[in-house]
Amino acid sequence: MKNPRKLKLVVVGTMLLLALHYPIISFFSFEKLVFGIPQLFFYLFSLWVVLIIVIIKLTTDIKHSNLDREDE
Amino acid sequence: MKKKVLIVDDEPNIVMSLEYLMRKNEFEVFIARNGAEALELLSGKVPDLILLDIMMPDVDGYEICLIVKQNPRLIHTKVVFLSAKSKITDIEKGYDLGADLYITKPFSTRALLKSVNELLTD
Amino acid sequence: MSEWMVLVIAVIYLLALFFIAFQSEKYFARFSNNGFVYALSLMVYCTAWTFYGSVGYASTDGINFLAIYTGPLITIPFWWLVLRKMVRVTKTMRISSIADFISIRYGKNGRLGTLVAVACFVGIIPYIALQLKAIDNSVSIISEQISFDSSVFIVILLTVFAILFGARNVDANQRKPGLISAIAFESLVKLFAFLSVGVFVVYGLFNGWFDLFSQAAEKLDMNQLSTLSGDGDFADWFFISLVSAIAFLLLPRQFQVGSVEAGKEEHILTAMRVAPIYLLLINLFVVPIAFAGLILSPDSNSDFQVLSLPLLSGNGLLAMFVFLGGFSAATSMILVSTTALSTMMSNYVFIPLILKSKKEEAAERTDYHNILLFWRRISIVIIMLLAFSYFKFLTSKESLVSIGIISFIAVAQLAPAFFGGLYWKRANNKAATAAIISGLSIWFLFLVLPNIALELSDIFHNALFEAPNNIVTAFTEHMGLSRTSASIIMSLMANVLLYVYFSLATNQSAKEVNQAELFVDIYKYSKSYDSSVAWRGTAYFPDIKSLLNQFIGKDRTDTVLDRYARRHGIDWDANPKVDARVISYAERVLTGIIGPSSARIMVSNVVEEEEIGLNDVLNILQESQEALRLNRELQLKSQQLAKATEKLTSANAKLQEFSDLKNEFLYTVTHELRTPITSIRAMAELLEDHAEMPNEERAQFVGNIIYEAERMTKLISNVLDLEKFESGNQQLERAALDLKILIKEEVQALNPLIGNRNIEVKTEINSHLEPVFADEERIRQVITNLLSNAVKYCDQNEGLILITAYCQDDYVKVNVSNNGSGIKQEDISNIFDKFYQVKHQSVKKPTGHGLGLAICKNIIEMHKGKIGVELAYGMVRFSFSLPVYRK
Repeated sequence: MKNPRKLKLVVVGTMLLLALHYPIISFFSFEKLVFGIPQLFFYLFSLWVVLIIVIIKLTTDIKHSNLDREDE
Repeated sequence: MKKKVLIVDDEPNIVMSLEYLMRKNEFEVFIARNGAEALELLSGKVPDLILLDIMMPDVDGYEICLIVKQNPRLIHTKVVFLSAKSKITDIEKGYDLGADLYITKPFSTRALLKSVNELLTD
Repeated sequence: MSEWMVLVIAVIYLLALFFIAFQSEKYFARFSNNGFVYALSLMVYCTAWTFYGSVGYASTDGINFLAIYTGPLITIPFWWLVLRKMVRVTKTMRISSIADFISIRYGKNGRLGTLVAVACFVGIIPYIALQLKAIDNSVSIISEQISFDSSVFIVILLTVFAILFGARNVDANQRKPGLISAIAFESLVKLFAFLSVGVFVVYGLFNGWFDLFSQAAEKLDMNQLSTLSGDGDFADWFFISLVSAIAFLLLPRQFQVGSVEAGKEEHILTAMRVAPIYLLLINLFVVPIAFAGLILSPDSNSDFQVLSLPLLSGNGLLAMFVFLGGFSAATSMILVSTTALSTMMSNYVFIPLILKSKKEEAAERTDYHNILLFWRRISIVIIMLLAFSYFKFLTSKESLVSIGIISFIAVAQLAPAFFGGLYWKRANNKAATAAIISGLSIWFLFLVLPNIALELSDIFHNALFEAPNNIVTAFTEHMGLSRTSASIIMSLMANVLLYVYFSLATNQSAKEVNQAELFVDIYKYSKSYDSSVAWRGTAYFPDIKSLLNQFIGKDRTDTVLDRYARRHGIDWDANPKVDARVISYAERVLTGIIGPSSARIMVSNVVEEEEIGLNDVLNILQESQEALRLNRELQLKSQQLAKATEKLTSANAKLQEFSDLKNEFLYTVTHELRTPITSIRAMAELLEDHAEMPNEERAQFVGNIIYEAERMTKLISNVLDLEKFESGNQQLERAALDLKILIKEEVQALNPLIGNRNIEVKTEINSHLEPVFADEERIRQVITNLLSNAVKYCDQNEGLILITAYCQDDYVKVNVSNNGSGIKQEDISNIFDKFYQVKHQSVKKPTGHGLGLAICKNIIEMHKGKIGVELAYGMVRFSFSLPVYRK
């Protein structure tokens, strides 16, 4: 009985897992520079920033909801 | 000597009926159309009988009864309530205040006369 | 700066740190119990390996180093699910280390706990050695003159502080807010130090990011450094991030700060936000610094470029700050790890040995307090000593990074048993044991043995010792993977396969079932834990008390027992025997100190326990669960009942009110009817009895009878009218209506009513009065009613009645005013009520206008108009408005 907020977390985590590994990451692993920095760096750190924003949003949602739930 | 009766009621037609009835039966009739008038009359006269309506605009019948019964001058005056208030509690209250008789409206003039005469011959 | 100075600064720093910890423990216990501090304490993950080693790793392999951080990063969304469950279990079961966790989960199995403790010991000693090496190197680099080998001094210094921070008292379950505050502080120091040097390098030594990277593109091998290139890089990237993810949760120090020292579960949410930000910031400048190092001073030790670069540029102050940053990173790792490891060692290695060897004496000992403390401290000394040895003799060849990875892989062998235990009820202790042993064996064969053998081959100059290494190399090359990836995949595969196989193939003991149920369904049981533990038997309170006294001292025993008594409303003096809940509570307290199996042994000495069968265990658990559920349901039901009763009561009250109102109405109506009937009857009787009555009088009487009869009729028809209005059955016949005519007609009709009385009637109607769409008869009724009221209630000696009508906005307004005694202000609002004094039931005759006004109100409102009354200029004014008729 996963509730929607927890499900969202799992989805985000899974997507992160896929985005950070082969094969997706291989699409970005080239020598060229993007905005003056190596493409892979740019990809990884942009993803990182996006993750931070998403996590902040999801955790705020959880904080505002009832924390006394005993479900899984 | 003629018995004196004080009729206290604010309905003109009822007063008219009672007045005619009492006059025809050898009573001297005084009329008060409200409580204040009744008290004024009572300060001068000592009636033998008061026919007392309860629901009146200013001083109500209960109060008049109480005043009469507490006044040593009026110790022999009989108080008869004549009222449309017919609940048991109303009647009990009336007797509690010292009324000699409580008759509910609408009443029969014949019955009223009979009861009043009985009361006054005791 | 001389070496002495550096060491002095280090000592001062540690003292300052201790001061912070001490203050925090004494005065701000609340301060350290917040989410931000918790998050920072988790960042003890970033040790000297991060601080120095990342740059080193990045210098050879570029972005590949980031796998160590992306692993944990990927776990972050799952923290609210996984870490939260870990914390819940840890808190409920009073677990004090990862060895505790695994041992308790698999049936309070001491041997398994020992295995885990040894695995951690073996895996972490090198890691501690790595920190010592980092400190030593950094001291060398920053000191201009090196006069002596300061490493011994440093080790002793750190051992002393480790004991001060971690082994001051016995109860390992007591949280150490001081330690946590110190760690959090150090996390901040290392972050800011690293950011400072990063900014210095990018903007000081270069002209910003673009400048740095474009120079790098020219001068360095960007293929190797800025990409994950084909040869096994993707595999490494995956496997290293996998073990890093595991390590972030399961490393002894991580488990310590993340689960054992955790406060409120909400802190996890804060950590989920802070952690990725922290990790981003601390990794942001790694590659730039590495590149800068490669460009500017390629001969320096790449691990320590963060120090070398500022020093080379003459920026001594920054270098000092960086040194302290690295020092913080190393010391925080050491402090927490030694605490965690010493707890495990003393609980699972030393104490069991003591208890076993002196069994007879053990029962008679009265004071374990000091013994426990002693062995805890000795553990720390031993750990530091071994780490130091490792550092001195074995690390010369390897870079910082490879040691770290080897530690991670060792700890990763605990993952299947750990997470399996958390989520899979069938997982049992044979499986866990097999899994861990197999995983560690492969780890050893691939990663440890070859290196030891190589060292030995150097010492003994015998090529035979090179064999293990060669075999492993051949194997991994055949797989097409690096040694790291190969070891990870082989060890974990063996681990997981054996784990699953044995869990499915063998059975669990009663204790294991009990524990499995508790762990996997922790959320169900955490509130009712005390009642669901399967002790069956009783003990004498004095025995329990003295048992606790032996281990945690008298004062603490009293505190603990008082708290328990207060929470559960128990009076210890009332009954010499205590029940199973108390016993299990005592056992938990002891578990934190001497580990689960020893605790069980000690407690069972004082308890007369019955043997429990598997079914009994399950029954007890299910019963208490059922009881909780029923209780909750009962509460819910009674709440619902209370709500329903409330609703019923108020509905009933409303009904009663309506019924009362109806009764009053009926009473008043019948009352009003009695008066005319009284007159009629009296007069009729008099007419009958007195034939001699003169004709004039007779006529008068008869007239009166008729009058009263009419009065009654009017009242009755009013009541019926009102009823029709109120039940919505009233029908209106509307047509265009000129009010002017109507008013004039009714005013005329007043004359007979007025008769001889001195009443003046004035009418003022606007000549262009608009028509309205209305029922003529009804409006006439209204006007008549208002006019007759005016006549009745105006001054009887000098009456004045004023009638006006005009258009106002879209309405036609009609006013009827009269002078006279008027209406009291407070009665105004009630005057349109039926009989008006219905509610008040006073003895006084109602001076209201009976039903007439109530009906007028209904009529006007049915026409969508308004009606009202006000006092103005000594007159009472009734008015109504009707909408203008628009075709």
